[in-house]
Amino acid sequence: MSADALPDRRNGDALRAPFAGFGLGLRPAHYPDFLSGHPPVDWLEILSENYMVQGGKPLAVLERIRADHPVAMHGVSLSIGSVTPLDHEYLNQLKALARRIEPMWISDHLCWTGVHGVNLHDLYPLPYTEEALRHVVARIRDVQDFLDTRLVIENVSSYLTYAASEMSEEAFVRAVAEEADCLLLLDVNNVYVSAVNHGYSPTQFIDAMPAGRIQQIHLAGHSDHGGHLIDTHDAPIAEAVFDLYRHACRRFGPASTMIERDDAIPPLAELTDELDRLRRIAAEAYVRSSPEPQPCTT
Amino acid sequence: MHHLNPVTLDELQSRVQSCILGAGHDTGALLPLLCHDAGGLPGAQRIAIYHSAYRSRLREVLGTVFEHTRAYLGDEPFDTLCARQIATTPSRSRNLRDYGAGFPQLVRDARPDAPDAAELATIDWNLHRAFDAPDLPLLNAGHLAMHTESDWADRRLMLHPGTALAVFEWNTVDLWHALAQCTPPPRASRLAQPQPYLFWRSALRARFRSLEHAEYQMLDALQAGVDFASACERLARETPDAVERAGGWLARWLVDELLCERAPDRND
Repeated sequence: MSADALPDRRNGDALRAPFAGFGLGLRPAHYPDFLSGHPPVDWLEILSENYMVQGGKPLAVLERIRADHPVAMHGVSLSIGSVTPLDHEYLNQLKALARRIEPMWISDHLCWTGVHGVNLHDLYPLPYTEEALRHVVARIRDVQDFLDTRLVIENVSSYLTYAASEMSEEAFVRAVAEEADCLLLLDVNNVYVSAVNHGYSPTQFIDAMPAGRIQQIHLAGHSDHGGHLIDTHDAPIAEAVFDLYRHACRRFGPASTMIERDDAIPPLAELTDELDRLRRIAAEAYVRSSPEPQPCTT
Repeated sequence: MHHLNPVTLDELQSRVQSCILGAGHDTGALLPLLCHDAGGLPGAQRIAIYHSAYRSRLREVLGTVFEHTRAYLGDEPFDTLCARQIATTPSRSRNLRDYGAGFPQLVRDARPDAPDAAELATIDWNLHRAFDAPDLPLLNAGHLAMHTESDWADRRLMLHPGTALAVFEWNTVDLWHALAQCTPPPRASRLAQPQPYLFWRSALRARFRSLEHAEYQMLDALQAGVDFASACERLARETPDAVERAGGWLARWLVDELLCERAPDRND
């Protein structure tokens, strides 16, 4: 597949790339597993920035692993919601990496990561305002034009919301997806973490998402700090998040799913066991998947 | 008190960033812009989560890159240096791996009592940069066989971008090896004379080795953009047998994947 074979966003009938199955985030601790064998993992997600280097071992290893596994690219530094102009050097590097490894799709987050040349290396939520909506929609369209593919945009976990917000988070996410004509990476753990932190219903959030634009689902662990949750990605998936994933599977049908473990990386077998549980939940839920809920008319 | 006028996205992001980069207690400009749920986590604590995450993320990357420096100094003194680096130097790269370029100098300035620690930080940083430096087409021994010695004098050699040179005054390399093997480091001691070192990448591994002074001078000249012939001439003035020895160095550099060919200038 060439970079030109990334999902063609001009084809309105097929928004989503085909279902890729159940994958994992590729982490250096598991390089030997993927270089020496074929673990039961359908596809891999790479952190784009880890390979947006110009040479050395990271790229050499990635090319070997890529030869045997489908890969999706997932970025953390696009800063699509920042008021700072788009960084074309970054976009050129992103495009060069996409040409090199020919990913299934390219994703990043619905957030901003810094302004005025500073990078805070965190995923800051946007205010859910018309101004922010217009801003981020225009930038997603610009990036999609540059990369010539639909971006896959992820909802973030958050610990604060802004008084300026004029709509709910789910309304904002849905509007961004539809107006920018992009796809969504639904992080079910992020939905749960933010729902607890801000006191909204995670199932209502999922029900509000446009099913035809859910390209991918993320799952991860979080830590419970009593009154609030922190999205740490250093623990197994919580039971409540498995339940929410079941709900998402019924709602969206088959959507490429992966576990995003970033810290306290366990042996690969622990993650493939967790992945098996997701497979079982999905298989049962897809049978019962429901069509998109109709708007309330009362 | 809440602001009556809505802020622009630009102003909101600037205020959040100032608050995150600030000392941590100055949340006054940001609190009025946040939602405050009755019974929920107080706004200052919500900001504190991001404030702490920023520092923790940068401290973690410094601890990983400067692994041996941390092991040598100990966690608490190392964290003090990290806090100083983070307070004075915001990250300006989209890649966390780039953070820490100024850390060896900060260790040198902040810990004049521990010049060996600053040299350790230099080793850690140079190996880190060599690891994922750009892949450029390397010259190899096959190229050497195809050309006469005079050809080599005219070729526009450059060192691979992952290459670095450093001169140490302490037994830092002995310290580094001990720390790498998790054994107690020897007592720090000043060397009888400064010792140059070469850092580079070969077969995808970051490496370093000591250099004799004349070889260091040659590599230093090439690093500065001097062509091979001029570097030889310059060295011959100080070291009579330099030109003969340069052939041997050249052969080793080719085997070690140190050399690339500089792109021609536009007017060549």
